[in-house]
Amino acid sequence: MKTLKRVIISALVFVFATGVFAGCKGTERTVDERNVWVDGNKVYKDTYEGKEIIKIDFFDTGYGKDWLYETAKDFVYENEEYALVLNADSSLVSTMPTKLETGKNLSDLYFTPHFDWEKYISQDSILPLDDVYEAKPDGEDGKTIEEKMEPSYIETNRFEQNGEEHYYVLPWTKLITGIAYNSELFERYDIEVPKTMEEFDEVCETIIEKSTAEGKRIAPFVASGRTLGYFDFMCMNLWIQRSGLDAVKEFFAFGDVEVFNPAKEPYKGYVSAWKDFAKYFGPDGFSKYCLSGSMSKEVYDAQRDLINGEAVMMINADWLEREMINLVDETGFKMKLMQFPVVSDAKKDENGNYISVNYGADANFIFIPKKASNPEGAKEFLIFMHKENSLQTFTKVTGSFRPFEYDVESLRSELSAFSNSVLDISLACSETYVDYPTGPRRFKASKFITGQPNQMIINGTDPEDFAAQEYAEAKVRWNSDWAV
Amino acid sequence: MKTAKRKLTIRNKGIAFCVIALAFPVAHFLFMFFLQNGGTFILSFQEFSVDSGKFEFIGWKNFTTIFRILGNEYSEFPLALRNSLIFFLLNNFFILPISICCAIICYKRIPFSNVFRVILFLPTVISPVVLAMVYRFAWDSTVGFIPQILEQLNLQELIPVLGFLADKKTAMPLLLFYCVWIGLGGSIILLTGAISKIPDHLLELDRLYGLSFFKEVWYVILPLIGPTVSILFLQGLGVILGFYMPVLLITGGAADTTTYAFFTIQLTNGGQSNYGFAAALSLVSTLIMSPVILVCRYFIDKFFPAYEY
Repeated sequence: MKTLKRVIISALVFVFATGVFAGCKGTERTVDERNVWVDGNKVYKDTYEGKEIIKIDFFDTGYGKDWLYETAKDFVYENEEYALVLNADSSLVSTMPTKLETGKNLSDLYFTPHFDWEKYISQDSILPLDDVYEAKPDGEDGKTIEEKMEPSYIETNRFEQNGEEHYYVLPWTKLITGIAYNSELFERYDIEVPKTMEEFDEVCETIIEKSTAEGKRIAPFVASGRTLGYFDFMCMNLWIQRSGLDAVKEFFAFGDVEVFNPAKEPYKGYVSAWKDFAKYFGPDGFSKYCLSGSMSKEVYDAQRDLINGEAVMMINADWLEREMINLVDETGFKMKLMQFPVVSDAKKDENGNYISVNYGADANFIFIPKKASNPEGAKEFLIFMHKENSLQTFTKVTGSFRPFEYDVESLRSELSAFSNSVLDISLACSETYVDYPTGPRRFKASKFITGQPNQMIINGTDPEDFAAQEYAEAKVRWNSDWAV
Repeated sequence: MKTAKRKLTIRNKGIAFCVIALAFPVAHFLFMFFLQNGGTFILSFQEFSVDSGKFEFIGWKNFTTIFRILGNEYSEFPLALRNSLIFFLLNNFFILPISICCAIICYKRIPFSNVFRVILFLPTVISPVVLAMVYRFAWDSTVGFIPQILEQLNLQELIPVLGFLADKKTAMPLLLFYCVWIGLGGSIILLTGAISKIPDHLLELDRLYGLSFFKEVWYVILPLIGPTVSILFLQGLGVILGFYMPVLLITGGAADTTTYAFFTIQLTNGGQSNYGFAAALSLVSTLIMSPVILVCRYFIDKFFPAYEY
């Protein structure tokens, strides 16, 4: 018995030890035909010694890291004096503020998701990028970065401090939101991509009918209720359609508490959008249209269910395919992104066409800390990133887009069907709206940017009641903790 | 002369030893108590100003906000407090008594006690993050084994349409169940250790006197493990202010499952804006909880006096 125990214990120790040592893998080294090396997270040409180092911290989700490595390789090939150190960090949102506040352990360049960067301007922690905006990455005959940038993103990157206005950040990606759908199933059920809400209703009914007839009822939607923001893609888009972009901007200026009044525009339009949304995701519609248990799911779980055929559609955005690339490749899943259907009372432009705006959610940012050790090198890299070729590299590798003017049409053949559908939406929209609260209460009333649809669903609240509660709360808080 | 010099050196060495030995704890105390708490005290009267980039004094505003949101129907704060109290009651008046029972079962080698031991200890040797993930997946309506079992038993109507962990009727009970599951192991380890320290001759004497099992537990074992029970009880008081991890990992605070600590973490999530308010909240909680803990300590010491054996 004792011998048996010893054998079992020894076997367990061996298994654990091999497990530990299996994790100790040496850094990977590769070199291409240009003699550009990728040594772990270092990228350099010929040799690392004697090079001027540029340290980059980047948020590693969704778009992956390959695009940055590709751009870095091209950069060091053209600028041999530099070597890049690329630190992927999925917890950047929590680690970066402390680094910025203390000025310690800072990298030279940051690629972050959305954060309130304006707060760090007054602390003098972020370097102005006016000279980068004025640079012409494609040569003297080309456009400046400012001219290449999509106009809707310009205002989100400037900030006025002590009477001086500067550019402090650059947008990293262009978020294109819509409804991801199983294109193979749409084809099999002979479903056309719906353009209006009425057509959308029919599509949902067809999916239920045909799948039930086949023996397994498939839910039209799966959602990621635990991850805030995805429902907002739809609600915000429908709100912009109803009230127009100026009205939405008026709301986010938080000029007066009456912007929360559900009986008046702009909030009235938001309540109508919630009502349309509630038809599918509200207390009555959820069990019919949504995969059971969706509100308990994280975004990866919901995306997995979509790809595994548990549901046909999911409110999502341009990064979906890249984010789930392993499972997509493994299953051979075919999907596309459709534009949100048009509501019957959508606003029209001067030509009588329905306004078509992409809701770009909250922008993600690139910035250089004021205390960076190599700010000039970081600026060089930033300018390089906005060359025509570099912008195209981003699209080729990620299948997503950057909010700058560059030739994307010529890349169509290299892009997947999903990315092509994303590009179609991008081109069909006259502009992109990026969450950008303004006015003195911008940081106080910011709870009104994401998550309201989730609350409505979980609390089973009717949109009108929910809006009335929000208005009442705003009135209470306006002159207390939201006071300026 | 030589001896005097030597004595002096030994004395100096002793002083140097004491200074070096005490330096770190004293520095730690000065830093952690005065500097950190002093900083929190000052911060509680301040608010971050985006215009100046500095924390500015705002008087009692942070404190008045606490009392205003306490009675505010739109604030999650009262709900967070209520839930924290529920988790405290669960920990101290449900998990702790069960842990004592289980520890006695394990000690007494009652049939299947080793099976219980493995089942109860298992969660304590697995990372809480992994454990929470496994638990979350178990209840997932698509891949979870529990909904699948319910479907097999034709009990689909028991599966909430929003999901077990997002439905208000099921999310909190499942969180409580999770706490019971993972909470037992740690307490049992400490309590089993305390019971095993009871001298054998005391227990043998019980048998000679013909004490029944329950009398032995009530009159001998419980009083002798009293100090460990009281420590566990006092530790449990910390749940009121510090419990958040399972909430964060399992429900994300949704479906009315937020707690005081989770609420505070959410406050400081967006950068410096709410540091002042969070500091004021900590100060008020300390003022309320310190006397509560001292009073509890007093009564627990009365109820469970420490016996020398």
